[in-house]
Amino acid sequence: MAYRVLIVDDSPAMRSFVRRVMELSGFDLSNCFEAGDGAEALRLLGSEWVDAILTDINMPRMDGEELLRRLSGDELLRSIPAIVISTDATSTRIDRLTTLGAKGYITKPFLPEQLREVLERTLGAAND
Amino acid sequence: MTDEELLAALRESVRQVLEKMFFAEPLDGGSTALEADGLAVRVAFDGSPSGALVLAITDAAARRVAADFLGEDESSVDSAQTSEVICELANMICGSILSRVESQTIFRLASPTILSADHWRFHFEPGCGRVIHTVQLENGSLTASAEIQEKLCPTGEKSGY
Amino acid sequence: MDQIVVGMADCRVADGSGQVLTTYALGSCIGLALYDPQTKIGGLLHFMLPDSTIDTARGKANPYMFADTGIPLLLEQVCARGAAKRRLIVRAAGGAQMMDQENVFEIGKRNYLAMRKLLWKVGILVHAEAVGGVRSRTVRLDLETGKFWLSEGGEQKELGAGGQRPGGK
Repeated sequence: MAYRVLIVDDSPAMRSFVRRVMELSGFDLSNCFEAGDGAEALRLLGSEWVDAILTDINMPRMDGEELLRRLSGDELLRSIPAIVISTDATSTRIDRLTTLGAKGYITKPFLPEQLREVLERTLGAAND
Repeated sequence: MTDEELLAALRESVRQVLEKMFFAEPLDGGSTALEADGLAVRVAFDGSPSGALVLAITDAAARRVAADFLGEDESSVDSAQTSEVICELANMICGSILSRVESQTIFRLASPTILSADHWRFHFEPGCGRVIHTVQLENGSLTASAEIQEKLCPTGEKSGY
Repeated sequence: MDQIVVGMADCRVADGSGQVLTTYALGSCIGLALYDPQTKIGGLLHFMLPDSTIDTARGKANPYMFADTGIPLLLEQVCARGAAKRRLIVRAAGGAQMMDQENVFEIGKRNYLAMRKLLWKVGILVHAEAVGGVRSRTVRLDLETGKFWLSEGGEQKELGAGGQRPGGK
């Protein structure tokens, strides 16, 4: 099974970094989608199904928290595991996001291997 | 938060972010990034307290940092990509500083903005509530200034614009 | 068991059962092991310094001394023997702060950062590492089983068996 993943971050550099980690972890990049903020992510999810969402928190227009809130309020979308990648490592933030349904949390800065581990835990080992 | 605590948070954040995601080993001190051509980025934050981080980096160091982050050769990284990487570097350093600040609120970081040459030197003038730290990188330098403004804020939580 | 010793500033690649690649006295140096479990081809590099550009003549004469010249060669040789890059299991040990108590030179840490930078650039992620600290290490890569054994402070353990994931140092 080829996994489809959506990367949501307003930084094109961070989206490139995450794509590279996924590629080196064995994921097929043709199934990798990108969005610059929560609003764009929701629009994309209106027409594409994904197996996991990797999202930043601080983004313009619609931030990661609001995106999680919208996902958890949708019958279909709430089943997609969402992993948060953010600079905010405070327990207050992590607790809030867990309550909103986040399945994993990675604090920036992070090692590529840390992201691979979370992806494998959430999705299983990458497709080959 | 005292200026000393803010400076310690700035030093440690610069070091940790550069080492972990950019594989660079910064050395404290040396000539500032303001004396040569370079790039400057500002990240404002809102919360309790509010403030901003401004980061200046010399051109050659910026290109090297960008190439290392993207896993590319320097020759294949253009100036747009370099700017994007430096913006993300500033974002991460700012976030790292804030995670060391004791606060009841959740901070909100604005998107990083690139400063024009006319405007950035102002952010590196010494002042109350502003700390400045310079590091040497392999082929240039980076100077960061962190400033907090003590002011009363509403809760600082926003759910989006 | 056919033990192949990898010296300082040295690199060996092998295939075949019964072979074990070993390197000793990893202080600030780093031992980097690549292993393809399907073909049982593996390589072990013992490098000492991060950057050959400080001494390009020596970098040419002995590329295994430096991270930036040694790591691409290790990868090239392992793949030339028949290993597939995407299958490689990557483990590293060393990078300790040894001779210099005030950490003025921090060679160990610089070696580690140089290795990370190179691996990211050539496109390999690390599976397990034992780096930093102040003690010398010895490592062995068993090509039959793929196990990577680490000796440190008189104790021996397997690296990469559910512990010592990168980021834990």
